[in-house]
Amino acid sequence: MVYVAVDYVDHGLPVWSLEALLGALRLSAIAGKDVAAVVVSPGPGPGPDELGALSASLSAYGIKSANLVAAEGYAPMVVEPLVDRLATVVRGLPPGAWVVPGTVDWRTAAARLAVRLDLSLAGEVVEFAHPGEGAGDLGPGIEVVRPVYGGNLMSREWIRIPCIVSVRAKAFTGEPEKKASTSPGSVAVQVASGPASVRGAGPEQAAPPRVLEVEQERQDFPPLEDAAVIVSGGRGLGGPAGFELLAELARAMGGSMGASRAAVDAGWAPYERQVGQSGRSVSPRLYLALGISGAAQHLAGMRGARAVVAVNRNPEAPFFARCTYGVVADWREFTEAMLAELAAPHSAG
Amino acid sequence: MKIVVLLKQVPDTIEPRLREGRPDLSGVPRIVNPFDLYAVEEAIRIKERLGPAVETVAVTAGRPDAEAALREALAMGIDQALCIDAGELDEPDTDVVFAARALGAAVRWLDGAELVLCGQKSLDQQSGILPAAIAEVLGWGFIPDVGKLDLSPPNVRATRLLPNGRAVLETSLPAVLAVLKAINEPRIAPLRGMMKARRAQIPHLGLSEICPGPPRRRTVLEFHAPPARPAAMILEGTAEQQARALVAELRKGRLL
Repeated sequence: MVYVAVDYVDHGLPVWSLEALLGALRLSAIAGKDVAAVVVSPGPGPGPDELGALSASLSAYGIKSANLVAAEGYAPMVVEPLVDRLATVVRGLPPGAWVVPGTVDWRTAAARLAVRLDLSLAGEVVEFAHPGEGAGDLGPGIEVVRPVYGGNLMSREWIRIPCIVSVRAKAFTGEPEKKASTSPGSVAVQVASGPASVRGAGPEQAAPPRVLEVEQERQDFPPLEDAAVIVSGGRGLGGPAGFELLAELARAMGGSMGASRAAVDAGWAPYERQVGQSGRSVSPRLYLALGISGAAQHLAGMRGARAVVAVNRNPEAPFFARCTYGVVADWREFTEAMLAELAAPHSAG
Repeated sequence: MKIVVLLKQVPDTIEPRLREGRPDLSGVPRIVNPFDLYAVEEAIRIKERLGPAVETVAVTAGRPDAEAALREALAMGIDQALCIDAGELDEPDTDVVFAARALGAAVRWLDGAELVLCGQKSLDQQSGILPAAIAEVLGWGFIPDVGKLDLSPPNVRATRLLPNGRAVLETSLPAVLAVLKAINEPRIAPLRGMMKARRAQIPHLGLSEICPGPPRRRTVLEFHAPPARPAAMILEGTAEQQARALVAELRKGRLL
């Protein structure tokens, strides 16, 4: 059996939940098994009037059965109550492969569940594979593909069932495939009751952390992880003033702003903006890199970008071998030309 | 107050060549996982702040030559080191849950540890899932993505970096914290530290002495290269011509 665990927050399924659903569907298509969903809501969960809408959205994803589980005390960054509650649920169901979202909180929950229930564990899964060469006699399991070495290699692995895997954010996106046989709104969402929680077996029981304060960043730009367009600058920008011009281009393109490690280490941009190995991993539709040479450490953070524009004065910059469009130019002249071009009226199409 | 820093020794590359479906690591030097150096530095800074009542211990589990990673931590200023001889943990087939049980057992063996610090991920594997698993093995609290920490027993307060901001969390000790680059800038080991580290006696423990062997439940079938991007389209001309061509291309491809 394939199981998927998702969040129900603010009266709906958030994007990370939809990505987990798509991942589970992919696995179910390969394994030839149905997907059962476990929908977790902090607190009491959706009212009776919301169940219809939830059932319809799950059905659109080809989900055949769903359980609704309320996890009291579960909140962003406080996953221990979720783990306690879900441990009971997992234990009460026949063994299978569990797919969970790729957020930091779910990754934490997956790790805790795997240890507590002795499940196989894999994180950052980007694809499920048909059983292939080498997996002959290993027994009941699934095949997962994960990036290793900064995404420069992919590792195809067999892991034994029962298992729990968290998908990588943005790895499974798009719309569910339409299935003619699926009638809309046909999923019966069962509200789970039963024993509350399986607590940890450790000598001491972990208390959940207390959230004292949450500070939203200044909303100059959307969060890098969610941005469809990212304009990033590197050492070639020459100083903090360069980032002001870069910000103008980011705004003109309706995107967010990023920076290379060199620019962050030089103090020209805050760490929160760093894209790469020791910063953030991003998967925008469009990534513009200005004055960034394209070291492997930077490429590791933006490998998921659909299209990449590299702008550099040095025609030998490694980025030119790893981009979709290459522009050999002075970044400032090019940026000013871009601002003029974007401001000019154009005919769509 | 004992602070344990968990270290992993990794090959110093993120671009290994493939040979027969495996990364070719021959001749690649091995280093302390760069993400773990932030944990080493933070432990030393805590000790500098709180004084000699704090004892810092670096622990690694891996091939016997992983000792070199521990000497680097000692050179930076860590007090003690413990090496778990567990070559099987260095294989790509390592089961994460088993690795967590082994490292959790090492922390327990040390007795009296109240804080475990580690890097958020490793240079080679990078799934970032191990620290939380270790916390569960120990039954301790866990905070990931830590960019700042303030230890005031019986609690530790940590700033967790979020995609769109930050949050201040507090958890009771003992706890496991996974730190990010933003937390500090690791020092260069002083010459005196290096001399001391070279002479240090590092105790070794066999893995089987602290943790029973694992069932085989993970097997790497093969490594392959990710799909490559097609060759780039190079835009020629003046900056104005390049900008015009790019905007036209992006609009055509519905990328803008």
